[in-house]
Amino acid sequence: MPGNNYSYCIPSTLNQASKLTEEIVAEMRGLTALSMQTDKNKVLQDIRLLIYELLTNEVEHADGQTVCLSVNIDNEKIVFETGSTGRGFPIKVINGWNNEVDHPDGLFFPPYPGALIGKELSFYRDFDFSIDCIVISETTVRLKLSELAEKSLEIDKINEHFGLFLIITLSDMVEYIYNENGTGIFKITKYLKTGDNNI
Amino acid sequence: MNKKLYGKGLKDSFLKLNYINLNVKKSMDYTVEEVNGVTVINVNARRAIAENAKDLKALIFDLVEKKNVKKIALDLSAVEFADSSFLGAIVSGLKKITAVKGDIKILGLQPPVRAMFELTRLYKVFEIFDNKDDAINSF
Repeated sequence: MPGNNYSYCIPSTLNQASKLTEEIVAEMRGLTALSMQTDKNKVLQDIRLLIYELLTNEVEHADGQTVCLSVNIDNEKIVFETGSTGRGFPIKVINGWNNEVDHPDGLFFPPYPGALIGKELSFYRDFDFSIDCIVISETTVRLKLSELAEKSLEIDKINEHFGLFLIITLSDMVEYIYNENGTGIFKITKYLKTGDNNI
Repeated sequence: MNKKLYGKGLKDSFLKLNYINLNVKKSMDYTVEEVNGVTVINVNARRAIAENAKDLKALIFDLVEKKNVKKIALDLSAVEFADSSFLGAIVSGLKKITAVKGDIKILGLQPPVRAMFELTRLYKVFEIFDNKDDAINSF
């Protein structure tokens, strides 16, 4: 890809994830693409949180002993990719507020069933939004947020896991791609806004 | 330009346990005091993340279960960065205390942490105050 490319691999620990986050943000601070941002500090703050949540999500949920992250940045966007090995990103159909699986087959690991291709599944629900999963192909899903028409501020309906929500909120597109060799990639795209090119 | 960086190993430091006031076990990241019937948990960590989030959850659970605490003011004025795990721990604590008709109120949010509460819409769930007196008096 054109632009500046960076690749990192670290031991899969939260400490290393924190450290790498700060290293990457420090690298980005001096880049021209970031300097052009109308609110550079806010953008960097969002990027810091996005990278941190990405890495810690991998540390906590991926099977491997290392976590790898690549970053490609050009004048229009930043693309993050995290790679991990394992069974892949499981998708599920949930039952109402309690996020219990509501399908006789339970969780679906890649390759995803052909019958689900093109479908939009509610993957996770919180008190006023849901994370939906659009099945693009047997190996690719796209995640997005949807605001719920029916909201509830009941305490027991508030979930305690915000990582994926933050990743999706702070970016413009989140996709998961599973490769034949058993590696999965989360691809996160964040568009950059400039003074005369608000994307 | 391609660049590869490898993380270096970090030596973990041991947590010091301090027994203060309510004789509840705490880590160096938290101190607890009682003010006008309200239990104030001071979060002393600059970074409120997964590692110390577990301690916070355990602390709140301990206070509620063993000390019958129903009013907690969580002072985050020292916190410069909070991650999703830490927020999750606060929510978990809130569920625990509301089950006994109690409440947790938040105070002293620095801008990045306030941004997290807004991003996660937790400002709809918690009452947030600028200072300790207002938080304590609100109970």
